Amino acid sequence: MAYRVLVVDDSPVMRGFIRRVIRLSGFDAAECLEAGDGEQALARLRSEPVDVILTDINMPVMDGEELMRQLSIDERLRNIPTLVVSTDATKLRVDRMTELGAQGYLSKPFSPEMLRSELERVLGCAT
Amino acid sequence: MIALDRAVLMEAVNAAVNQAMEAMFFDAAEPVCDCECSDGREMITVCLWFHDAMDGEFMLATPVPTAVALAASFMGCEPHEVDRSQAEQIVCELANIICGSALSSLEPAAELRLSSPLITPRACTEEEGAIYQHYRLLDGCLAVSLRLE
Repeated sequence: MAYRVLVVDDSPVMRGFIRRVIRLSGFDAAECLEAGDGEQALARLRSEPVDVILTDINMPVMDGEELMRQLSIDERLRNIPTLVVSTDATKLRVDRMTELGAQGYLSKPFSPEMLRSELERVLGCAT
Repeated sequence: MIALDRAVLMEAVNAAVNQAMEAMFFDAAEPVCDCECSDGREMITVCLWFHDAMDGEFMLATPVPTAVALAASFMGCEPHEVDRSQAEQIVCELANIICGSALSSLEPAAELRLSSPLITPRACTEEEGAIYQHYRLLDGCLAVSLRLE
């Protein structure tokens, strides 16, 4: 099955990097959509279905924590598996994002293999 | 900072630089005593600040040609396709990744707050109380400094 992925990050170069790494890793992605912050992500998610969300935490307008809260109160979006991708690897942050509903957490730096493995684990959890 | 703190900090920064270069830039980083970073070449220098568990400042500097090579590797394109703005964004990302990774490994149970990385006209140099290290890359070099308040 080919998956539709939404990459949420305020850095265009990081979004491009994640798209490239998904391709390099061999993960079966049908399409990679992009959003620059949580608000843009919600707008895209309400108009286009995706199978998995990869989101940064520190973003302007709406950050990753608020995005997780908004997803959790939206009946149509709350079941989309979400993988957090962040430079912050502290236990406090990982626990907080997990409590907010994140199914996976990948700290930077990460390799293509690590990203694929975590994506597959998160999607496996969702089935 | 006491001597042990410096050694632990240095080890964490070295590990973070190595991991970032290998995993995300498909490069290698070797700590060296000196490099072209101190030759007066045009540099891209980034500064960011961290708070809460530890307070301080992290700086990363790299010559423009190295920044362009890193950006090309990161973006999967040829160096001539990279513009200055993209090279600066990549150096900002690299600083963010190295600083976040190093501090997370030092204080994994604590709160960590990083500012957004900013391009600065300041020079990344060896200062009293800060750790400072040069790295040789496959195609260039970089320097980092980390100062705890």
